[in-house]
Amino acid sequence: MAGWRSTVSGIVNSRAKVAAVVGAVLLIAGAALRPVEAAMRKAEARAGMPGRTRRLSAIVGQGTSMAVLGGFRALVADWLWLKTYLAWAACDLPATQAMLRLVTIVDERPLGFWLNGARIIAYDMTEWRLRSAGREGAVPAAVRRRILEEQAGMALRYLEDARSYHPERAAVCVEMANIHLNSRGDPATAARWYRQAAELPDAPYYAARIYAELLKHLGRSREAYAWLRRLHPTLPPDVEAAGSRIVLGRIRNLERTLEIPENERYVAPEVDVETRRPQKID
Amino acid sequence: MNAIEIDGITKDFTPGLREAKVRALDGVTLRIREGEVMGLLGPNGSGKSTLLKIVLGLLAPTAGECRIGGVPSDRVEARRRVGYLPEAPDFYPHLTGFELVLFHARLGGTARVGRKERVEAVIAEVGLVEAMHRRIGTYSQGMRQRLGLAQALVTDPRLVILDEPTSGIDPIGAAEIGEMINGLKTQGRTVLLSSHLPGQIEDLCDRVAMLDHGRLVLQERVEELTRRRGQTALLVDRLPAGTLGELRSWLQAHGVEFHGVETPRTSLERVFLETIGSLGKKGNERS
Amino acid sequence: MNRVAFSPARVRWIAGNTFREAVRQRLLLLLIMVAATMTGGALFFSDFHFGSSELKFVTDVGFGALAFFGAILSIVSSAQFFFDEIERRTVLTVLAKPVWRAEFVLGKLGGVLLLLLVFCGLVTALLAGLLWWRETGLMKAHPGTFETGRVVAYAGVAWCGLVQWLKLSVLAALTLLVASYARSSLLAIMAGFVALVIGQLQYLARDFYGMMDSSLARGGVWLGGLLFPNFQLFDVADRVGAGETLSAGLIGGLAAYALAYMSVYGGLAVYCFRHREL
Repeated sequence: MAGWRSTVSGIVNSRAKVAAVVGAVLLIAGAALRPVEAAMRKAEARAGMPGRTRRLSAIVGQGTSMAVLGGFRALVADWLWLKTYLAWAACDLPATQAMLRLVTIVDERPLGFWLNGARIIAYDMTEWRLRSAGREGAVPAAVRRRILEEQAGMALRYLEDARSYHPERAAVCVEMANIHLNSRGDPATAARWYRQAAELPDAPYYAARIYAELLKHLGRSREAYAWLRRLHPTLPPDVEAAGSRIVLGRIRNLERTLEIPENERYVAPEVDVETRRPQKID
Repeated sequence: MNAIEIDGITKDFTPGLREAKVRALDGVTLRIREGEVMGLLGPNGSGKSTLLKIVLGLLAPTAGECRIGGVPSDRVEARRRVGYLPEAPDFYPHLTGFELVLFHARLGGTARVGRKERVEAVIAEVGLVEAMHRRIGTYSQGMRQRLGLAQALVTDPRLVILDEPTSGIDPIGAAEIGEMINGLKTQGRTVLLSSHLPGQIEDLCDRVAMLDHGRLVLQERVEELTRRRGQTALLVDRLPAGTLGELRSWLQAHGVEFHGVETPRTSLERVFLETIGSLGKKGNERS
Repeated sequence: MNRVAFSPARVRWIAGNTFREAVRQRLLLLLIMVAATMTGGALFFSDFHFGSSELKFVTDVGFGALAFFGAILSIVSSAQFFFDEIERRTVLTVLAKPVWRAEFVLGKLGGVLLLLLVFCGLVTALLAGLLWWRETGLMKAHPGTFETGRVVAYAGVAWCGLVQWLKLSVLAALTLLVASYARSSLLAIMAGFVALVIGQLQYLARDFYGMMDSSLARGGVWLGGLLFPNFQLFDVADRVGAGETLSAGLIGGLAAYALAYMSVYGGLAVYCFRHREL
């Protein structure tokens, strides 16, 4: 009995001592490095993580949840997007709708998920519903209108969610403008969204031009003229996509249409590639 | 001066919670002088390898001290001029013999200038020149043993520790390794040779220390131990008929007790060595 | 007798020996082939005509392969190369020379880190090459989408590869710590994978422990969290895939964090090995 005790004591003393020292040092090091970790965690969306986990587990089960938390979040989202694509290709509305929502829960960061998702909801799903409602031409106009409005509404809500994650992305505003224009037939609201897009840092050049065209379409040509006059000086003349010559042409057209006196007409600035910088539109 | 001083070394192992403590060494005290070949003899499990590891600082004793050249053996400095060949070494299979010995030469602190030449010389000394650029994974057991000897000798050690150096080797290979060990002695190196084969210790060592169940039971010069005191053996050619009786009478008349007559015998090992050796199959490679 | 000083050169030779063993065992080649197969498999996305989004998928699959197979390589090589030395008894011949035990442990770690660096470098380079090739093709097919030039931030891809190497290096050091104490390579490998999972779930554990009723449980989870690094910090690959940039501050912070943990784990591995009976 005494020999057994001394055996246990011998083992416990030597290996346990080493393990205790290792454990103590790890605890101290972990505590010391917490501030470093906290500084880097500030960029992470910490608050949303537990909620996201609970929703995820309820929908997809533990395996996917673990993978999402295990650093394969983007990969899981990509895989889900593939599944979305397959559901879309099969014109499966309920599955496509569910997958679109799931993809953005798993990973809200890729803008492409939101934009393509909104287009599917607004246009493709509308088409599917109209087809299931009846043959081409056989669907009553009221039903058609209702389906368009419903899908457009869903797509716009989807994009409002996107704006909460991507408030400074012009592409979201452009997409909302398109849906208002194409699905809801509301050029006035579309124009507001195009203007909003044009004022964001990553706005495509065409957003500002389309805004002006919509103003003209709405009978607000003077507003369009004023807008284009402010726009043109900001456009780089050496970038084809900026459409500096196109905008100047439209200014001249409006001057003729609105019969602007010669002395009040827009004077295009001297082309000086070296010094000209795009300016913010006031 | 003593090359190795071992004072009261005791080593206990605790294999597991449910098993009793095992005393592998019990108060071993030993001195090994510089330039001598000391044999460590004992059956399997007697504590020989444990003692060697303590000498090399690879194990810490439970009690006692050990010094190499006056330096405590647990200090890195103590191993500066030590070469060690473990029992049945199994080296990195993906290195060549040359790469392994060069690796050990670097670790042992050999001078960079002339290092590769030193490696080649040692490899030639152990008879592995033709195989030195082949991967160790293709070597036979005998070749690995020679390679082990090469890595032990590449740093020009003053003390060479060999643990069962002929383990798994055929008699010819064992004889060659025996010759190399004799060569070490001629060079004035101290050798500590551990073996469970009495014949090997008898052939190669000046002194022997016998271990049994962790205790040092005997240490003495080999020559003293093996001498059959008070007797003389004569070796003569075949005696003609009748001569034996006359010889016996003469001895008894001079007060010498006559114990008997034997036909001298050789050993099967010697016959094997002479037979195979004469067929000229010595070389670097053994099947 | 003069003291034998700690020698970085001996550490380097042991590291080089470890790396050479890994290369000659063709372990690296096998994993590169697997990772290349996975990355190349991402090319099938081109059949879906996703446009520029395809580049995101290729990036995500590539870094996913790097993370997954890199973790296997990191854990298995750290444990295996350490235990091989003990089982073959080559550690005895090395330590019978005037070599510090610390030099041996740090040399083994250095060899594995070098192996991981080559692995991460090759896979990242392969991924960058694939992205360049696909992006060139997409630019010709959809010029309007690329009116501002290439969209892939190749510098970000390279930095991301470096960050993955940092993560795998911390994991290797942690596995080596376990190996220096454990009695079997299987235990060390299992512990490495468990540590990887725990390190990845740090956020979840810390966010939920505040909701626990039992103070004992809260304390236990909090203490347990301190033992492991937060591997989720190193998951920056999906940011690169989503088009975000990695700031110098983030990369510097991650490097410092990784270096701190490698130093702690490496130092503790030396401590454990010094007390290990061979």
